[in-house]
Amino acid sequence: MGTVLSESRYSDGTGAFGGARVKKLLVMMPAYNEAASVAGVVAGVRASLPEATVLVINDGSGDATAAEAARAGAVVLDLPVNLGIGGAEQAGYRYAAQRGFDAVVRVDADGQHPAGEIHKLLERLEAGDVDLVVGSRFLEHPAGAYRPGRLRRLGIGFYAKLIGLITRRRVTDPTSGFRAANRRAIVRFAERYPEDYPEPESLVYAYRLGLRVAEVPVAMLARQASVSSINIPVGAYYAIKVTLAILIDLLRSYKRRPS
Amino acid sequence: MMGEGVVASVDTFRAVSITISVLFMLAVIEFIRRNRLKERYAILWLGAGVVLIVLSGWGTLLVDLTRRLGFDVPLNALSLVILFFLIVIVFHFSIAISMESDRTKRLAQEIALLKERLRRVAPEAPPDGPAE
Repeated sequence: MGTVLSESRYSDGTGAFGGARVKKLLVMMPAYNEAASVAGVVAGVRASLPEATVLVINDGSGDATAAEAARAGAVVLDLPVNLGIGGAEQAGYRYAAQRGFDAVVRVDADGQHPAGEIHKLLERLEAGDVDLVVGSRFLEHPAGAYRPGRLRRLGIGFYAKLIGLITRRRVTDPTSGFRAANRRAIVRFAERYPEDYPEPESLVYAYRLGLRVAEVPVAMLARQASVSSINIPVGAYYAIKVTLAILIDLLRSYKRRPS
Repeated sequence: MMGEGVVASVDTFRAVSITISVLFMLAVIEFIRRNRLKERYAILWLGAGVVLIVLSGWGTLLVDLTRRLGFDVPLNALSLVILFFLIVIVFHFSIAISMESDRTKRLAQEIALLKERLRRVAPEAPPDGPAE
C-alpha cells in the first residue's frame, strides 16, 4: 500500500475519512531553538514527501529557527511567545483544520524522527480503521536502534502502564511525538489539546474522545543538535503534573462524535 | 506544657482540619475538571492539602509539632504551616503574573506590527480593528 499524494484539495469537509488515501498531507514540527537542525529536517521531509506541505511552528525561539525553516522551504507559524510543545502543536492542528488537510504527521525538529519512516505511519492511517497512529521505538528492536537513558525509560514505562490501565490497550511508547492524525483527530485536537508535554496525556484524551489509536514500529535516531528539554527536577514536576492531568481527565465526560 | 483538656480537644480539631482539607482538595479537583483551573497552578494547592491532611491525621505529628514550635494549641502550629504555604503560593502567582504580563505585552506589540504591515500590503483593508 503506497502513499499517493496529489495536489487535489480535501473537499467534502465532513471529517469523514475511512480507508481513503491521504490527499492533502501536512507534516508539522513544533520547534524551540532548533536553528541548527530544523533546515536539515525540513529538507529531508520535502525530499521524501515532495507533495506534502511542511509546517514549522516556531515556539518563540530566541534563535534563527523561523528564518532557517523558511529558508528550507517550510511554511512557518511564528509564535510571538513560547506556548510549550502542546500549545505549539495545537497551533499546527488548527492550521491543518482551517486549511482542510486530511492528515497531519508530527515530527520533531531535532531530527529524531527520520523522514524515511513517515510512510509507515501513513500506511497504517490509510488502512482507515484508526484515527491516530503513534510511531513506537519499542515494538521492534533492530540493531543499533535508539535507546533512551534509564531514567527516561522509567518514565516511559510508568506512563505505558498508567495509560494501558486506563485505555485497556497495549501502549509501548507513550512519550513518542512521532504521530499521524486523520481529519477526525485533527478537528478534535484543534478544539482542545493538552499543554506542556502533551504526548502521554493526549493518548488518554484521544481514547476518551473515542478516537482509535494504534502504534506502529519505527526507528528513531538520537537527537541531532539539541539536548532534551527535560532534566530531573523538571521531569519530576511533569511526571506529577501529567499524572494528575490524566487522572482528572477521567472525571470529565466527552461527547463522542461518530466517525 | 499542654493540659489534659487541650489534648482531648486535639481529636476534634484533627477531624475538622482533615474534613476541611479534603473538601478543599475536592473543590480544587472539580475546578480542574471543569477546565477552570490549570494543573500547573493547582499542584501547590493540592500539595498544601496533602500536607495538612498528613499533619492532622498522622499519629502524634501535630501534637509533636505544636510542642516543638512552643505553641499551646495545635491551631497555632497549623496556622503557621498554612501561612507558609500561602506565602509560597502567592509568591508563585506573582512570578506567574509577571510572566503573563510580559507575554501579553509581546502579543499586543506583535498584533500592532501585523496591523501596520497589513495596511501596507492591503491598503483597502479597514485601518482599525475594534478599539480596546
